[in-house]
Amino acid sequence: MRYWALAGILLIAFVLQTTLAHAMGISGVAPDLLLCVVVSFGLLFGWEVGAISGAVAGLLFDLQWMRYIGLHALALGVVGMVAGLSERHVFKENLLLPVLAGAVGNLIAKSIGLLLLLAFAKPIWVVYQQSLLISTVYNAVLCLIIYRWIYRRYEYLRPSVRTNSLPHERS
Amino acid sequence: MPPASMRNLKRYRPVAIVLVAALLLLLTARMTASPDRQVSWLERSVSEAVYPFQVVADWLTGGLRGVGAGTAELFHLSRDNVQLRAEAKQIPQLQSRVAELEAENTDLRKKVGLPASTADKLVAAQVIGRYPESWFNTIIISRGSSDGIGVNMAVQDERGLVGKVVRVSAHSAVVQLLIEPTNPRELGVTGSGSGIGAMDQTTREPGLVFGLGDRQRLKLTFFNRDAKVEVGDPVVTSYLSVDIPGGLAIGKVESVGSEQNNLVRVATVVPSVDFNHLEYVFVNLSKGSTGGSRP
Repeated sequence: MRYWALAGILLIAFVLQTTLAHAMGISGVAPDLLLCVVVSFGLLFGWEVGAISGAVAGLLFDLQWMRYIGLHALALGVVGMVAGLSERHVFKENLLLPVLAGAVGNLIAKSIGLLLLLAFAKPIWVVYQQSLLISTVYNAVLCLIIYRWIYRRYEYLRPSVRTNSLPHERS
Repeated sequence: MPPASMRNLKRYRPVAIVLVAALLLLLTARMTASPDRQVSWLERSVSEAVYPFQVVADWLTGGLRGVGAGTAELFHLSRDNVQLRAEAKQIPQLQSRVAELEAENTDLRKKVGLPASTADKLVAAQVIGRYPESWFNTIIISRGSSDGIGVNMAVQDERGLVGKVVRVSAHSAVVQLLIEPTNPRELGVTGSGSGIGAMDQTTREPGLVFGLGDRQRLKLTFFNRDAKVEVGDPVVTSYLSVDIPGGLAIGKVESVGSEQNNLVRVATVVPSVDFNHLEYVFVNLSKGSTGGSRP
């Protein structure tokens, strides 16, 4: 596995998320590039890579905003792990896979955030309701684009798998 | 062959690691929930490392926004021109009225022995980041402790109060917007949230303004349950606030009602600031804490 390349992708996604994501928002709801990268990593490289990349990306994000450090790390870590647990059981070429995983991942991440913030007496229930549908659709579509981009580089990112075929072509 | 207990240990090790990590993250989230804590060197380092990227990204998106907005504005130029010319005719009259009132104010202050009011010290800042989630209404501005910015300082734009500084690093600061939803129970306990001292400018009735998470609405709770408030009354910041300078525009009363069995008088306020299009703001250095003692 070319971990430095995975780290590079994650770092670029982090910088874009903190700088440009809001400008790409629809009705005030910004896309979650980090979530899409983490979901893609989980689906393609397994639960360990998914969980660790999610936790690291979330931690960086939390550190930058300097409050509730661990909130995004936990949410994205869980999403990466859940996506990764399905790695061996899914048909990676299927276009619906990243869409579905993106939607489910968004639901999980937002729900973890909601529960934690409610536990910390932060009233975000209305915000959660208002933004959930848009963010789920937006991130599902974005996940498809990001997943396909990473999938095309699968052989480069995982050179330890000595084969000329893509994952779905192997038995 | 290892014994069964060893095999079980190896099998459940990943689960244990995940659980411990989740517990640690939960603990750090709880520990860093309060706004009244010291910012660690790690947070400051990440913030400083991202700062140049944010400036460049804002410059790039600013260019794109400028092209889009410029094209859209072409269609309204003629109408705006007529409107602005009509407004400009009133400026000299307003200027002389303001000068007259200022002189009268200075004279009256002298007579009652109050110190002369001084102009607020403002530092202009660019909005270089915005919290991408809808969970928090916070922005990052391009000024930090090296520019004299401190926590709890008021942030405003030409239309009124935008929010207050909650975190500071050397070259940037995190600003919590006025619209941030607040749990009133939090106030006074952790000092978090956007509950800000305010008053009805017409009747001088004092109260507290809370964010609702809605960019178009704020909630004003009056201290007096018989407060006389009218729809359309301007709402400004209270002069009694420790951190926020008084007299800054907050918005206008949209509707008036009561809560908790008519024990509390409340009003819905439409904010004067457009929170969807914040590009430049001013940090008011008059109040709040200066420097980086609690960055």
